[in-house]
Amino acid sequence: MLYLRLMLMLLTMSAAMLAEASTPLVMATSTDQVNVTSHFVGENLLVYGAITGPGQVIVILRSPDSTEAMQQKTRTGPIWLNGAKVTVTKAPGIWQRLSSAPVSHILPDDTLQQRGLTLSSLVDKARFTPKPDHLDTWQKAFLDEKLRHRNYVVESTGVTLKQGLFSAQIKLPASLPLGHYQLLTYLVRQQQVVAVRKQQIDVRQVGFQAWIARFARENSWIYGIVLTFILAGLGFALGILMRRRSA
Amino acid sequence: MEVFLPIAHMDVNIWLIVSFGLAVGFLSGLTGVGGGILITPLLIFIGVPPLVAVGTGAAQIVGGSAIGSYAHWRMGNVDMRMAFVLLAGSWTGGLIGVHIARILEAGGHFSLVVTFLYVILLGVIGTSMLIESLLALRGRHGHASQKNRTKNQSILQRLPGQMDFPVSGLRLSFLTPVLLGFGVGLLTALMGVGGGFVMVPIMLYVLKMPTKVVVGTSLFQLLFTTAEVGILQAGMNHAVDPYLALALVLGSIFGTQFGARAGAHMKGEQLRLVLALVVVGVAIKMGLGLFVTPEHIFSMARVV
Repeated sequence: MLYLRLMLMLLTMSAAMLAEASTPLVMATSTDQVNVTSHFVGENLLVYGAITGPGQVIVILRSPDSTEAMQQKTRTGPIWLNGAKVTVTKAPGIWQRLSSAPVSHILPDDTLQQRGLTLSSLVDKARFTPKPDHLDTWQKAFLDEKLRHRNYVVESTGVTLKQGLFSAQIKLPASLPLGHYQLLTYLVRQQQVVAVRKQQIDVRQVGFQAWIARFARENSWIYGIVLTFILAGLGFALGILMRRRSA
Repeated sequence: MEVFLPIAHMDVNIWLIVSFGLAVGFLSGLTGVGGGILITPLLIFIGVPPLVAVGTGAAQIVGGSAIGSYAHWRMGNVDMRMAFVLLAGSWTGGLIGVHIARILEAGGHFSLVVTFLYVILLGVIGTSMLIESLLALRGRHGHASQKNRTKNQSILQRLPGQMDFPVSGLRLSFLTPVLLGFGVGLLTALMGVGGGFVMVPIMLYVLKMPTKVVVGTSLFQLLFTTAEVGILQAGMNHAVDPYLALALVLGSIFGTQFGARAGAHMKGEQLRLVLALVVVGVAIKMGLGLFVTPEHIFSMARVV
């Protein structure tokens, strides 16, 4: 941030312009940390801030890349069978783009593509292995599924902009990939990105839930043995209890 | 109460799962038929990944059968020698079955195989129960052909490895119970069922074990088979969800007790008819899934 300001200072050499150009966009979020507990059923993330002068705002939330297993159903006779299976990597698990106007109206296509502001730029970077015969069909299906589960969200009226103040509600789904999310806020003026603000949102599992999930993954054998004994013990204890009560 | 299931990767109202346990436990308490065959399909219907439904289905039977096994063991209704020979087979079957499940899942075919197996199994069991209870309601009793049984018996007696089972008062080849156990172990691993519905009739009519010992011995081996498969499914396939399993055990223990009490005041034949209809209904619902054009041709699941 400081570096950027210095650069701008050198470029403009004007106190008046500096005041305006260094802070054309300020933003903040309701939280910079999302705690996933066993009761976590999604959360709303509020992004708000102010812009100086005219312009439009784009807010992008991007999770770390996740690995998705995709499968196609194919019809064999009257029966629907599971067909080809493809693993998709190098694409964000969650990606949401909220803006105060349709992005295609406020930025030229090549800028959108360059800055990775479109769904098609995401799917172009995604890697499909093994490479399917009809890649474009799979790419389209990938986006459809992501949009259907609201893992990818595009809302061209998602940012409310009024008298230089803006706000946006990002709805995080219940099933979130964990890690450092990037929240990017763009100020767009006259078909150009004037300012960008970056913030990190940490999504992490906390409490007993996190411990169980990690333990079950990392020590799966011990987890299995302990859980089996707990289940047997629970069944045994409840059974004795019921028998006593009925006797 | 919405809970996020860490292994199944979905959120679910945990009381719905408890009520599944209650309902299935109630049916099995009412009729004396194990309810494991209905738990896994119910979990699949609400969107639990099939492998997790199967793994968790097997694990929850451990809780459901613990007290019964103990009681039968205390009463001396368990033929220990028979149980251990059965377990030798079912543990091998379980181990191989969990490996098969892993390979099928990796290839993306597990859900389909599970659906097929359930449609066949539930269809056969449901239909035979339906016929049986309808016949019983009409006051007729089916007589199995005596000739066939004696023929089977003579084949069994010619197998190598004859062994004495004093508690059951039998002498037969150890290969028969090992094979029987093997099949049941496979079923437990691939379908998440206890396999009592296969084990009990074979023990009664093929091995000709005394009725008193059959229930205790089958429950005893079922407890240890589902325990083995539960551990393997968790250890190898990450397919046992803790919250699902605990909620199911909680529900089914109470459900079984209520069912057993209610059953004392009701007619057995009508109860079996109800269960038969439920089983056939579930089989039809699962079977239709194979023929109905899926709403979404592509499916996606997050791996990491």
